[in-house]
Amino acid sequence: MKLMTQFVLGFITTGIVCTHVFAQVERMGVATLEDKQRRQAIVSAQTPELGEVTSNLPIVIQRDENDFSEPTTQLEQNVSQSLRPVSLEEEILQQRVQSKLTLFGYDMFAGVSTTFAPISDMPVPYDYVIGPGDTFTVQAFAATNVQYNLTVTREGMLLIPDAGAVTVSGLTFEEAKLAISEAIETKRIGIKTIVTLSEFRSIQIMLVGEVSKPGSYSVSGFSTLINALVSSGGVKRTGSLRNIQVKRHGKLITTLDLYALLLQGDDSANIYLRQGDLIFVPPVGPTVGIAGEVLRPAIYEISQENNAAQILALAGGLLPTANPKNAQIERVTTSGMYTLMQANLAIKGSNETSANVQNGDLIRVFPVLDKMDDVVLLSGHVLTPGGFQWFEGMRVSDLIHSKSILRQGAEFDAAMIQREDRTDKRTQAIYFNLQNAISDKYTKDNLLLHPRDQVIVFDTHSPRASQLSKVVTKMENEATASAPVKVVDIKGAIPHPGTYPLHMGARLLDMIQYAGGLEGGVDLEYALLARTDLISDRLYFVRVSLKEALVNNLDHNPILQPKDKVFLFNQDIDRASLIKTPLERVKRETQFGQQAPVVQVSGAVFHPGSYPMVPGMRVEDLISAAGGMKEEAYGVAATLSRQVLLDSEFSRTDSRAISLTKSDPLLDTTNLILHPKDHLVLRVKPEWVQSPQYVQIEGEITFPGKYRIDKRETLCSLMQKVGGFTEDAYLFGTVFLRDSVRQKEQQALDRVFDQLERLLADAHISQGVNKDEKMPKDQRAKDVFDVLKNMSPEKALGRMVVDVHSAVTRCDESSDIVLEDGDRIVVPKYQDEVSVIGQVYFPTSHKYRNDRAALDYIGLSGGVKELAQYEHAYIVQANGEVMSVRSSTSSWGLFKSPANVKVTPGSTIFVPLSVDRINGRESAEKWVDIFYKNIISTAMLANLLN
Amino acid sequence: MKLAQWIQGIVYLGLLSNLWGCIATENLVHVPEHSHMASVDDYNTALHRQTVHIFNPMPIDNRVAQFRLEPRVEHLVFVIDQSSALDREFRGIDTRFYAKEVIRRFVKTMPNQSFSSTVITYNDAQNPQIFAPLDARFSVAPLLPSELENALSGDRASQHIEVQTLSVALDFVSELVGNLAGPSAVVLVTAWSQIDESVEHAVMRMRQRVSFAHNAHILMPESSAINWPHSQAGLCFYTIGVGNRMSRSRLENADSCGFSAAVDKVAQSSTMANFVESVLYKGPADEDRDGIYDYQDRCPNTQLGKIVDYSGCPRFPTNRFAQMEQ
Repeated sequence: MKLMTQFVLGFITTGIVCTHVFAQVERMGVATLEDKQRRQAIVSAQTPELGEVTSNLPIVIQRDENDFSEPTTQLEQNVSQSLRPVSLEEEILQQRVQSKLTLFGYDMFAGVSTTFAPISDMPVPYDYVIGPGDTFTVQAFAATNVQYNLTVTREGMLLIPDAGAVTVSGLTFEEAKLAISEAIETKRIGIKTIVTLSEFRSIQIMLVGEVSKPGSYSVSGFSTLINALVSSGGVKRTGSLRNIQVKRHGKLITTLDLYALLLQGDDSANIYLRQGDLIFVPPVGPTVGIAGEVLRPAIYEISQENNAAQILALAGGLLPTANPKNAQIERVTTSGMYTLMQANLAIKGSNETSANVQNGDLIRVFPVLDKMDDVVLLSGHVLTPGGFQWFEGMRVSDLIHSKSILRQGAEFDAAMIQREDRTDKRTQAIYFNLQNAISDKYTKDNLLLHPRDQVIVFDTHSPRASQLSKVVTKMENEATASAPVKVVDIKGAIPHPGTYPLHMGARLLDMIQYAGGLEGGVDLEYALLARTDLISDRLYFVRVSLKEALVNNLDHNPILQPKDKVFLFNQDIDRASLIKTPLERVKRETQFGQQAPVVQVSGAVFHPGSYPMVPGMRVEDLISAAGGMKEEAYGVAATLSRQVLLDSEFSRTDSRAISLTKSDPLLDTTNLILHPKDHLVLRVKPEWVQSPQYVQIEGEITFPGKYRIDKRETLCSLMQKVGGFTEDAYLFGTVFLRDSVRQKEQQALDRVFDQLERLLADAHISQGVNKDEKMPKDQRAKDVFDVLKNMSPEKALGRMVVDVHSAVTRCDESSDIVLEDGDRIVVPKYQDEVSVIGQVYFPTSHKYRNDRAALDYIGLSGGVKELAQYEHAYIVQANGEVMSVRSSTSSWGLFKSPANVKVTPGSTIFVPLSVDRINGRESAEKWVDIFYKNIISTAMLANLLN
Repeated sequence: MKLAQWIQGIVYLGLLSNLWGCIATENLVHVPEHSHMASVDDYNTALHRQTVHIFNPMPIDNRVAQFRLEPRVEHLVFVIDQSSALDREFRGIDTRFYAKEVIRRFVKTMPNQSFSSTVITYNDAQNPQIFAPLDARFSVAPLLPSELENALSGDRASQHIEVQTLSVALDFVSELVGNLAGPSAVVLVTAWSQIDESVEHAVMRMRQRVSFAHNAHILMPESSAINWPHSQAGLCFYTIGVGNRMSRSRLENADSCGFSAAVDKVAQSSTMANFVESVLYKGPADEDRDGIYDYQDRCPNTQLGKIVDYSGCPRFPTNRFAQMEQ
């Protein structure tokens, strides 16, 4: 049962606590993420600091135990509500002012237990007034020692044995002590007495008014007013702390101001209570809240205080970070509205000048702006980054005295000052030459610094754009419709590409200098400036020649505008993809009646692709935009395709021949003015040889080696160059390998291999030739596959069967062989053996004899095995020809017996595995054929080529 | 079965030997047979139909004045094929007539001003009267478009030639343009099937005639009488093919002036206007050479080498710089 109750109680308390917490969170209004972000954004926008944006403002939430145990009063809620943001600026400063205020002083009653602990071991206060119920211990000692415990009677008398009654009630303890001693000592001469008070009486008091537990209390006679208040649970939040009254017999004895106790430690009004005293706590008086940068932000009850300075004193004074000059008082006017008054809390003392306060006021003390003035900041690639004191007339050289404070690899050609414009609060970027500034005090690069300037020193190796990204972001945030973001993009062939804050008035070459300068190999003829028209926001391109710019042609070195994009190229950069985005934008912006100003170039140029058409662009400009013509370009003429609008609606494509060299007045030259959407095609020189072509010839050759060939070179003419064959050369067995053939073979081989598994699967499920024949065993088919897979050559060889003898001897059109790049000719020695491999009992080689033919050699090798397919045997002749014993001539023989084909020296006879025995499917033969042929030729060539 | 193979083999052998004889004797290998070319059926799937038979000329006088077009050539020679090769119908009209109609449309589109020009008609004759040496029988004269139109009206133009092949006729035209002082444009109207290797060579000769220097010589066994008159006047050769809707550009050369077009590509008023303009005019004038045509140029005297905008005015005016630098 007890357990049950505890559980229920616990549950209820948790519930209360939880709801309370939720209520608070909601009231504070800081819970949502959006709100937080919005505030941060505004704060960062409004606080123009040098370095970090103070994004994490401390939002102090005062949450002590009191919060949880006591429900907040209506007053506190009202104050909290009035602390909600009023204006934008306030909202920002709100971040720094506590969101929640509590009434001051009530927490002193928080943690005190309400049970009465008897106070017995304390010395008796001198001013304690004796009353009925007090117990004295009287010890009399002389000849005999006697000790009495005597209680004051209801009449206020102390009845002392052998001494009579002594009236003590109403006397203080000292007085009573004296009276008792006297009474005993006069009655009984020679006796000394010691009088102590052993037990106190208890007194009845009343607590009424705004206390937690009003009622009648029986308290120790020693109890003071504060004891009684504290032990009875204290004053309610609705009760006054400053006007606690003690009434005795209907008369006001004293008034207690708890603030005096809490703030000054003054307990002079803390009297001892007497029997029948009445403690009255009136409702709380006028209150004033004070929030922000003060020691104890809280709601204070006021009594005599009537100005802000006094309230400030109650709150313990200002914090060091407070800005007293700019405090606010929020007040409820008589008309029932809130009003806001500025108050200067800095004026101290005199009541007249300090702002008056009224009941319900809320004083807000804001922090000083988190901003440093009169400093300059040095950052970047320096040894001692940080703030430095600014002084009038300070220059860059005062900040950077020498190169010794720069770190290794610092950039000397460009450094930047990030400046806050004092008038319009915008960020400016000013670049200067650091080298000049340090070395020569009187150069114009030694700029005058302003307060709050930030000097950024770059380094030569790390990406500069990331170093500047903070400034760029800041400038982007500051941009408005009328003042576009003052940054420029520099892309392409530049040491540090990226987005740069624009130094207003800087020219193209200046900004290039700041981005690391012109690289080696940069295209001086063609650079692009993509400019956004600030009024129409349309993008257009300007073609710039850096060469012209370098000889001080201001036209090609224009002053940059905000949002400009500079594209620099070199031979390696993929120009098309670099300018793709702005080009797409230009295309997108093209309206009806206009043509997208894009021209295209393809063919034998370095960077074919689309390029923006700039006004007055000619064919030669397009060629230089594409990086110029390549070595193999046909330099006489090019073709220009132009889309012509007929009747302004129908389009047709015209082709124009552009003469690249001639100044023929009839022909269009490179001077031709381009139209939008023109497409220039530059041709490759006829029969251009991109790379030298080689043929390798080896073996029985007088001068074997690698020879360079011209187009349409023949084997015959090559043979003359290589000095002919040696005497051992076996021309019939010449191996002629060609790359293009090899590739074709390889493709066929790969394709067959890809199909192999499917073919095998087909073979499994399909019927054999003879319907009644059982399907071949799966296992066997798989075996074949495995065997083939193992046997298959990894690479095709690309052997061509050529008649070298007639090609070399006859040297005429019908028999000559035109060589190709990568041909390899191997002339072997004479071979006088014939090999027999495959399904024979004894695969070996035999001496060639011209009276023997294929079947004779098979017979010499022991004949075919049972699994062999005798009639499918192949002969690979020395020249690479593959012949079957089942050739057409053999069909003249009886019973289709295999023909006894003639063999040449150096040939190989291969007796294949019987396909029919493994697989009844006819098509299987086909691929088995391919494999066998390949395998044989590879096997044969392997020893020859190595 | 074996017998059948044998018979087949014999038949092939016979055929082969037959063909071999042809090749050996007539050397037909390099002569394309244009008359049996695959034709495309006359489906007209275009949703936008242009009138074919009614011609509403769009004279380019206005354009010439407005865009200040610069003339390309000084002389204009029309060569109209009226030979038997055009003895067919195209779009329901006699192809010969159609060939003349194209030039009539050309003339009607031309600006109404006198032009050194002529119209030459060619007809094939089995027994040509004219052999080498070629005589300069053609001439050009300043003619108004209306006069040119008159020249077209009859069966044959005032300058008419009857020779065996078109190539010979073109050789006579070569003789004409080779002797002219300024650059000339030759517009040949013929059927695509007429253009064979000999015509190609004739056009090539014509081109060489007006472009090569005097120390060049021609390799032509039977024409030793031709002395090489050097002229570097320049020539643009245009071909209009009738009787077919497809373009054939056999006479085009990469680095020479002129092009070929099917008659359908030039016969309508707008396309004809474009064709006439590209034959007679180079393009709009640009006097200050800033790359912006004069008719668009709002700043006509731009300093050379200035970067300009689309209105031809300096992109970066100097006075603005002066202000900004102060």
